[in-house]
Amino acid sequence: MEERSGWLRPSFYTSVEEEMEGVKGSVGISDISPAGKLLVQGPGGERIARSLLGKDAELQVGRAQAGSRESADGETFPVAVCCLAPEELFVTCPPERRDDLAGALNAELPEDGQTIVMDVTSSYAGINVAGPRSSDLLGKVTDLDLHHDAMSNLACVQGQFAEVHGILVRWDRGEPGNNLYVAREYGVYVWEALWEAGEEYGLVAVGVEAHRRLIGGVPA
Amino acid sequence: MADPASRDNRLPPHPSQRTDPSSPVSFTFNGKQVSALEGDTIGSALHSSGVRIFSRSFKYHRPRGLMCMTGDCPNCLMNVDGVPNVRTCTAPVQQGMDVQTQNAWPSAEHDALSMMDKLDRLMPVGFYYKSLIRPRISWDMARPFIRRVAGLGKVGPDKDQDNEHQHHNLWADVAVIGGGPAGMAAALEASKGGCRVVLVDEGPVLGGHLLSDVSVHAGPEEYAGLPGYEVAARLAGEVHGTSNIKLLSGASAFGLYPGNLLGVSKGKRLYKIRSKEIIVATGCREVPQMFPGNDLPGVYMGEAVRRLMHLYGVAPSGRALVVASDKRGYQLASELAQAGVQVVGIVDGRESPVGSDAVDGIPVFANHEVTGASGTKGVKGAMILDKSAGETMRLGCEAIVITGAYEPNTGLLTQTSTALTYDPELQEIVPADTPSTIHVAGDVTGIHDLELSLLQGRAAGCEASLGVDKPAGTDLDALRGAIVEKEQAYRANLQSAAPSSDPPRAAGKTFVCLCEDVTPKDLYQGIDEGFDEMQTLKRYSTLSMGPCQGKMCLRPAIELCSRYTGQTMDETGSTTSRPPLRPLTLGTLAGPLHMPVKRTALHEKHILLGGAMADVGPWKRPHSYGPVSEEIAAVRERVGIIDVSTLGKIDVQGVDAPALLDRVYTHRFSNLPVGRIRYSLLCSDNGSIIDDGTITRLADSHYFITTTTANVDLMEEWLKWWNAGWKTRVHVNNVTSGYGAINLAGPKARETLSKLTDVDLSPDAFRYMRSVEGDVAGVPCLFLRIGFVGEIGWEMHFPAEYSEHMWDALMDAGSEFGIAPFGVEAQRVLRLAKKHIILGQDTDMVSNPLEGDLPWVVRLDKDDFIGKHALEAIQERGLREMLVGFVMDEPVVPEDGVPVMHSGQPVGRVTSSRADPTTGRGFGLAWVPVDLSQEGTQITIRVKDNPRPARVVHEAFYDPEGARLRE
Repeated sequence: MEERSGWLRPSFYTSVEEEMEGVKGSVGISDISPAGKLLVQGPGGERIARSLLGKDAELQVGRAQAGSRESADGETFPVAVCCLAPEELFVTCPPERRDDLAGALNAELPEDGQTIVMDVTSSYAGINVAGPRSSDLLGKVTDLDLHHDAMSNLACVQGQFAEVHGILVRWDRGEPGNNLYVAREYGVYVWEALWEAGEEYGLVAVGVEAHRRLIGGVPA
Repeated sequence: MADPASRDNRLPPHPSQRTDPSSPVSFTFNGKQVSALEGDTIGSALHSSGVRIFSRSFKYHRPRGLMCMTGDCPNCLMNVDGVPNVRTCTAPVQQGMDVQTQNAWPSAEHDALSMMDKLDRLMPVGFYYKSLIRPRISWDMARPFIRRVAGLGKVGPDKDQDNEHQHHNLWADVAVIGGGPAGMAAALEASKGGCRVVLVDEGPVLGGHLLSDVSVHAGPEEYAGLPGYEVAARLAGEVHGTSNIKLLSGASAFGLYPGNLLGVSKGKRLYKIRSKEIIVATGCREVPQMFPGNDLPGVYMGEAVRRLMHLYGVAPSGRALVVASDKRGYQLASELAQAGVQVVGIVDGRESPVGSDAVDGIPVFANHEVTGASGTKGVKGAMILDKSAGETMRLGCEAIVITGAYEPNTGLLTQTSTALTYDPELQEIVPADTPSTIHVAGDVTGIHDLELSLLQGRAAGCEASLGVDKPAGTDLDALRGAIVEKEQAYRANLQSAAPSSDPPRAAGKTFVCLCEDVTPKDLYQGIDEGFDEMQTLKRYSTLSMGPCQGKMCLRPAIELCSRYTGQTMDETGSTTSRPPLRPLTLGTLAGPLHMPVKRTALHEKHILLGGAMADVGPWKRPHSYGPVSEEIAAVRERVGIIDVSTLGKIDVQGVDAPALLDRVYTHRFSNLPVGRIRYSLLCSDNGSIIDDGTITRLADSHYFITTTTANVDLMEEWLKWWNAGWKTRVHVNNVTSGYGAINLAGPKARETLSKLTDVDLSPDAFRYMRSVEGDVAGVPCLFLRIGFVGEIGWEMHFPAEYSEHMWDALMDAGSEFGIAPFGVEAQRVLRLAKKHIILGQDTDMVSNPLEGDLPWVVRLDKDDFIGKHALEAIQERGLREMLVGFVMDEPVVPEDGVPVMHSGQPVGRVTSSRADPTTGRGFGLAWVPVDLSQEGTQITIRVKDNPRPARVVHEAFYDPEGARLRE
C-alpha cells in the first residue's frame, strides 16, 4: 500500500507483470474508488457538459464521452461525462483533480439555483473490470446485456449487480474494460461477489501500477 | 449378481463408439467394484457388467431395468456420490464414484418390498382419496409405511453445503435448442448473417440421434453415402468452426418463459438466456407399447439399444425380439444381428409391410403384435398375436426392443402459446402454430427424415435471422418449396399399422406410467369415476406426475383414454408441461448467495477492537466490544465513541427546500435559523409516524437530514415523490454512502475534541442543537451537537474515506480520558434511559406522535402538512393509548414485546426494556391505555408468564432536566 493523491492504494498485489498478464489473458479487477466523481443535476447540465466536451457536444442518455479540463495550474486532465438520465450527469476525473473540477463546475453553474454539482466521490466505490472475460464475469452478477452489440464502448447503464444498484461504464482501452460504481458501503461486498464469480476465469486483483499501464489515461 | 466386468462383453471398436477401450475406469456399485471405460455412462457400464435390475418401482417395487438410455424414463435413478435420483443412463462415469440403488431393501436385486406387487387390490387408483380417512388414526398408522415404501431416494443432510452453484446470463439473437441435425443446421444458417447464436444441446457431443445412427444415408447430396454419425461429425465441425455460435453442451433447456427467457441447466450452472428468436429442435422420443410385462428389465426402447451398441459397444445379452413398424426397426434388427445377437423375429403390426424382406434371415411376423412379456426379474419370452388368425404364440427371448412410434419433444413449446394438434397421418401430436419468434425444425415436427430435418433447420435459421434483421442471405422461398415437396413425398410413403383395437389379453400388469405404477386398468377406473379428460385424469391417477413428467406415459395414456371414451385424440387433450422439463436441484435455481452486506468504512476497526458484529438490517454493526455495562459507564463517566455511519443522510437543497420540509415534516423548518438543528417526525396521511430524525439548516436553502438507518431509501423516495408532485424546486440526494459519522459523547467529550479542532466548543459558543462546519484532525466535518445517548456530545459527519483516520485521531486524543468505543447495545440502553424512541421498535405502522407522547414535535398551527388533518381528528376524538415510561417495582426485566395486563387481560405492550445498572430493576417504554398513563399509575407487566407490578413514569429516567446535555 502506498499513498497516492491522499489515498492509500495497493501498487500491486502479486507483481505488476503477473497482474497485467492476468488481465490480458482473462480478467482482472482493480479498486478505482478514489476516482473523482461528481453528480450534476438540473437543466444546466448541458452547459457544463459543453464546457468539458467542447462546444458541439451532444449529450445522449446511456453514453459516456471523454473530455478534458484545464486546471488552475495550467495542466490538462481527462474527464469522463456519463449521461445517466436527462438532466443527470455523472462526471469522473483523476483522484487528484476532484477538488479542481468540483470548484470549476460549481463556478460555472447557472445562477437560477436549479442545477447543482455534488461531489459524490465518497459515495461510490469503483471497481474496474478489465480483460477479455470481463463480460462473462459481469454476466454472472447482472442480467444486463453486456455484449458489445448492446453495450458498446462508452456505453453507460444502471442496473443491479449482485443484487445492488450500480452504474456501469464501458471503457475499452486495448483490453475491454468496465468501470462499475456501487454505493461505498457495498464496495467490499461487490468485490467479494466478483471475486467468487471470477474464480473459474482465474480472476486477478490488479494494483494501481498495472492498472495504470493497462488503461492509463482513463479518467476513473 | 453382476459378473465381474470384462471387456469381453464389449463389441469390437467402431468409429461411432464413444468409449475408449484403452482408458479403463472403475467405480463402486452397491459397494462392489465395477470396471468401465472412459466415455461410458454409468448405465452402459453397469449393463456391460451384467446388471439388469437398475431400480424398484415406486408403488409395487417391481424390478426395472435400463429402458430409454436418453434420460427420459425413471428406471435408472440411482444415488451417485450421495446425490439421489441421478439418471445413470446418461450420467458419465467417473473414476471412483460411489453408485447405489435407491428405494429398495436390502437391494434392488432382492427387494423385500416386492410383495407390494401382490397387494394391488388394496391400492386401486386414487386409494388415498378414499381410504385411510376414518378412523383418523388409520392414516397415522399407515403413513410411516407408505413413506418407507414410496419415495424417491434420500438427500444426505451434509450434501451441497459448499454451494458451488453458478448463475450466468447470456444474451443472443437466436437460441437454438437441440444439437441434432436440425438444430445444427438451424444454428449454422442463422449465424450466416452475423447473428449471435446460442446452441443448447443435452448431449456431451453434438449430433443428437445421429450419433447412434450407423445407417448409410442416401441424401441430401452432400452427405450421400455417409453413416449418420459421420454426418453429425461434419455438421459439428462446422458449428465448432463458427465463431458466432456459442455452444452449451451437456445443457438442458428446462423452461421457456415469457419474453423468450430460456432456463438452461448445466451441472451446477444455471444459464438465463434471453434471445430474440428461438428455434426448437428438440427432436422426439420413442413411445412405449402397452402389453403386460412391458416394464420388465429387458424391454428396451430402440434408441436405448442403438446407443448401447453404437456409443458404448454394449449389446443386449440373450435373444432379442424387435417390434417394428418402419424401416428403422428393420435396420436395428439387422444391426443387432451383425453384433452377434440372435434376433428371434421382427413383429410388425402392418398387414403387408414395405421393406418386409427378411433381413439377414430374421423371421418377420407381419400383422402381429406383442400381447405380453413373461418373466419375473427379466424378460424370458414374448407372446405375439397373429391379428388375422387371432392366434397367440410364445417366442423365447431375453430382450424386447420397441421401435416405430415417436412422440415429438414438445415440452418447451407447450410453455409458450404454441398450439399442438394430432396429425392422423403422422399419428403424432405435433406443433401446429407457434408464436412469431419461435420456430420449429426436425423430428419435433413429427417428420423423421434426415434430409427434411436439415432443410427445416435451415429454413428456421433463415427465418430467425430475418427476425433479428441479420439475414442469412438464403432464398427462404426456395427452401420452403423444397420442404413442401419432400414432405409430400414423405407422407405418401408412410405406411402405418391400424391401431390395435383389442386391449391386451395376457395375464399380468401393463404399465402406462412407469414412475407412479399406473396401469390401464387404473385409467379406465378413473375414467369411469368421471375423470375422462387428461388434465383431471392426470391429477386423479398421478399419471405423468413422477420423475419422467409424462415423457414415457403421456402419449400412450392419451391414446388409451381416447379409445376408452371414444373421443378423438384432440378432444382427449394433453397435460401442460411446466418447467422444469428436466429435474433441477433447488441449489441450481438458488445459485450463488448474493446477500448484500453493507459495511461502514470502520468495519475493520470494529473487528480489530474485538467488536461482536451483528446484522442490523443489511448493515454490520458492532453489538458491543466487551461488557456492555463498562461501555455505558465510559459514556456516563468519561467519553465514549460510536460509529454511526449507518444513519440515513439526505442532502436537501434548492429554493423551495424550506417549503418542502414544512409540508412533509410535522415540525416547522422555514423558521429554523441557519446553524440550528431540530428533531422532527414525518407522518403519513393517516397521521401515523413514518420516520424521525434531525434536520440541520446549513444555509438558507440547504438542509442536512438524518433518518433512521432502515428508512433512508423510503425517505429519499418520499421526499422526491412530494418534490415532483408539488413541483417544488428542490434537489434531494441520498448521501448516506458518502459520509462517515462518529458520535463522541460523555463528560470528557469536549476536552477530547478540543485537542483536534479549532472550532470553539465552549458551552456558550457551541450550544445544544447547534451545528458548525469545521476541521477535525485535518478532516472537514459537519458538527451536530445532539444527544441521543443523553450526554454532552457531537455527532460528526465527514467524507467516508477519512473514517479510519478520524477514529484513530479521536481514540488517541481521548486515551488520556479513558475513551472507550461503545456498540449498538450500549447505545440502546443509554437512549432508553433518556426515553428517546427508536422508530419501528417503540412505534409501529399505526403509532401517531400525539399518542407517542411527542406532541411538542407537531405544529398543528402551521399550514397544511402531511398528516395534519388526521392528527387534528385524533386530537378531537381524544387519545386512546399512550407511550409511557415504566419502572418495575422489583428487580426483574420484562422482555421486549411482553403484554401489559389489566384485570387479567392484555391491554398494552412493552416495546423496549433494559435493566437499571444500579438497582437491577427493569425500565423501559410501553404502550398503555390512556387511563393507565398517568404518572405513577400502578400497572402490571407479564414477566416470564408472571404478572409483575410496575409504575408509570413520564420523565426521562436519566437526567430528566437535560442538564448534562446542555452543559
